[in-house]
Amino acid sequence: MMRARIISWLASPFLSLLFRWFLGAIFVYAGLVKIADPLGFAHALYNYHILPAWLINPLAICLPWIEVMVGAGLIAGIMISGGALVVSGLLAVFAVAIVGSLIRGLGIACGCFSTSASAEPITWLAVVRDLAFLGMGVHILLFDQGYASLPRFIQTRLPKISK
Amino acid sequence: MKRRKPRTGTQSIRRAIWQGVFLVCLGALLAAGFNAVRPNGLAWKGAGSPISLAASQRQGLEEISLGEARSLSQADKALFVDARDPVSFHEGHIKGALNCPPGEMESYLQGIRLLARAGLVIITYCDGVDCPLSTELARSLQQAGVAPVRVFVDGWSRWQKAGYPTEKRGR
Repeated sequence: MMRARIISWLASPFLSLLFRWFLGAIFVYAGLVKIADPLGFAHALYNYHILPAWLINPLAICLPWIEVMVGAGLIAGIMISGGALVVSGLLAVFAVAIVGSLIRGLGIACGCFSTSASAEPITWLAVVRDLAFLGMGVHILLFDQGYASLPRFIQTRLPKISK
Repeated sequence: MKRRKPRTGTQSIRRAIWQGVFLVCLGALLAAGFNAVRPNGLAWKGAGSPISLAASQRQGLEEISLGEARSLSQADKALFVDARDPVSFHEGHIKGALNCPPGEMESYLQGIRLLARAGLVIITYCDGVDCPLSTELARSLQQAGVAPVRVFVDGWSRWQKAGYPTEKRGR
């Protein structure tokens, strides 16, 4: 009985809505920080030593905007499953990159929420945080019902208002 | 009123993938547009690339040539500091070098400072012309009051190619 209640709470679309807003805000914030300093972000990407040189600048230009787009989509409830898929994919890639840099002992800054190279070096805490976010992304993908979404609001409310 | 059929698992996955592709393309398109109009836009390649970035970051730091590094080494007047990660260091490095990635400078600072005061030239190096680690380390050492510090650009590759003494493992 208790177990069933916990499971139903964990699979709740309301919890998914909370995760959507939280992850959405995180991604919009992280994206905006990087948009403000593309050169710093290019440098942060470079420091990971896993990307070919030709890919660094294009990624430094595009990735922050993709983060903002999917983050805003999650908050507004637009293309939720696509947004959650991209967010989860990105977080999985970030996790691999962070673990790789920790194993190689690079001692570099994360570049996650700051583009400064002199920011605190990555720790395993960053991996735990990333995996927690990834869990939220997967939760959205599996259980979201589109609550509080802009398209649904337009679909259900606007015809009534126009009448 | 038309009632929508519930989506199957495959349909949902396909829909999520298409939405994801659309969001990524839209983000990339906006990024390209904004990057083109902003004053400090990044070049897609060339200027602003990591290579020129590394060069611009070396401003204010003194570089050292291969020949000079070698003669200082022969005269026992140099301390090579390898700024690469420990794994690369253990695979091979300049003979007698100390491994100190920029993030771990604090632990070695005292020793390096003493050796610099004793008259050794501190030479930082890493691998590749676009490698920023040696520059970062040199800058941090300089800011911590260590002098003289010189950057040996693309040090590991050039030293190896010249056939000068190297070793595996070590300090």
